[in-house]
Amino acid sequence: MAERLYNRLLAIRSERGLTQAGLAELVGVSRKTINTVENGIFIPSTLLALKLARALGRPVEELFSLEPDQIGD
Amino acid sequence: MTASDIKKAEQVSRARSLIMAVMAVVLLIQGALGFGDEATSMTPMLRHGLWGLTILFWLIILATGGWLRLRPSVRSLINDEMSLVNRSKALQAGFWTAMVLALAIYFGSMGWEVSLREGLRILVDLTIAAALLRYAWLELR
Repeated sequence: MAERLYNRLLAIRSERGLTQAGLAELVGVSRKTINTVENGIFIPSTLLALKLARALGRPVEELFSLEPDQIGD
Repeated sequence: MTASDIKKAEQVSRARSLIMAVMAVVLLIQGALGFGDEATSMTPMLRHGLWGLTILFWLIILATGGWLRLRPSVRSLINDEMSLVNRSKALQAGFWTAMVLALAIYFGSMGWEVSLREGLRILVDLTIAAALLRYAWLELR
């Protein structure tokens, strides 16, 4: 079964006024990693997903979802 | 971790990927041109020694991510979660290339004279080149 992880990282990061490099610095990964997560190319580990959620001050389920319409409910 | 670490890591990471891609092409060209060719000014010992050192060097880079002299904060960024996943995928590509080549050389050698040394060199060159190319592609996309 083909599954995809949807995310609102770009929208929430923009709301917080953070650049990719700024978020990368907060989380401790490269800017490229943030970019590939935002574009759905790279699926982050649970650890990284939780770090992203903490850095953005949102629950992790608000950032990631298996269904596109569940994001941001 | 600072903004300059992020910037430096990005530059190093990109340079590493480009160098890997170029090296993979060099290995392929060198293999194609030099395969079975003994006409060189270098002694066989020196030629084989240089080849062995080159392969060893790239194996270490594939195993560790390389660039060991960088600051630890920059090194951890160029070998972050995504890079480790990419490296793992690159090693998988190398493994499958080696298996397919091993089978090809095994059955090919039934109708084509190939020495153990030549066969191993083809196998190693193409396996390393496949891993380097895969890694570079994943990192640069």
